[in-house]
Amino acid sequence: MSTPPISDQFLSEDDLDLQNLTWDELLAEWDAWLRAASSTDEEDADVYSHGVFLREPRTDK
Amino acid sequence: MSIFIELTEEFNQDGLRTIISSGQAVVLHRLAMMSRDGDWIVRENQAALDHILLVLERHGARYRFGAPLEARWLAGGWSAHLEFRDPKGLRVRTDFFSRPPRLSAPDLARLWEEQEGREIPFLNLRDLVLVKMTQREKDYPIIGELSRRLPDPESQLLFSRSARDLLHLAAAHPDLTTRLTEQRPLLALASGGEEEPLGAALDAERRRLIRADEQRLEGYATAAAAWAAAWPSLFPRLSGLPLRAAHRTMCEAAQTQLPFQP
Repeated sequence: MSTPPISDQFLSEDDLDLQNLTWDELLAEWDAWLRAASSTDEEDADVYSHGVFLREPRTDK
Repeated sequence: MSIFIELTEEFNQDGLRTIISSGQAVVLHRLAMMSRDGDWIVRENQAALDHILLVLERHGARYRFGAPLEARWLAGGWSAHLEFRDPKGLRVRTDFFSRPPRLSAPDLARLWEEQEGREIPFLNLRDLVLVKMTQREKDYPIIGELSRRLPDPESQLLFSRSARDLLHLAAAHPDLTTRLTEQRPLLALASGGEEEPLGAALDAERRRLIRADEQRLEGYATAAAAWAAAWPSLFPRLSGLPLRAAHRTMCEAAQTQLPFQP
């Protein structure tokens, strides 16, 4: 019996498990993740993840 | 239901106007949940952009600092940023651009063509790999996994982030590896079968890609300096306005402060 080649793992098992979810499970998981992740919204309120701007200039919001 | 799917359906009602990009496309490829923000590639025509503004206005969105959601700025590679809170209080940040970095004009034309008619349009694996070649270290593990799912050995050889994967690929496809070496010089090391120098070359390649993206963004930051300085006094004038009225004020101000081309 041959040994499978050693492979680098870039992401966690939890991440890679998304492949095993049904579509409805994926949507539910996604929504739950977004709501859980929003607890840190204030920490990076002025930072951008996408596009060509990196940070919002200070304003009195 | 994900708010990003709902928005995409609303943006694309009666016609394809937006394609989900970056972090949320990674979710749709079932790889990982790593981004709270939604970003979309948009059609570069004002009718499509006006529809998106209308949808966002209905959600009570407001502009964040960025370019107006207008074709003249988007054509220069600028991005527009808006946000709102959903009925359950979730802060929904939405980012838009029409010229995704590192995708050529033919790439974009093909992308719009291939996404036409899709129930949920989102970036394909190859284009997502290119968009993810950003200045952020955290995007490179994603590229590593995305590359493994590319459908053909040529794409895998061109984009893999794993020395071990490349060694296996080079052993299985020696002629193809040699042919692609001009495009990606570190493949010569994969043909040689040595993991350590190949790993070092991958690290150096990643740093070059990060630096290239940083330089791209520095160009935009320089071009947006006057706009950034004007924003703190403009922002209060936009507050409280319905989005499309705020958009008109934003465009008027940006015309003298933000060049269409960086």
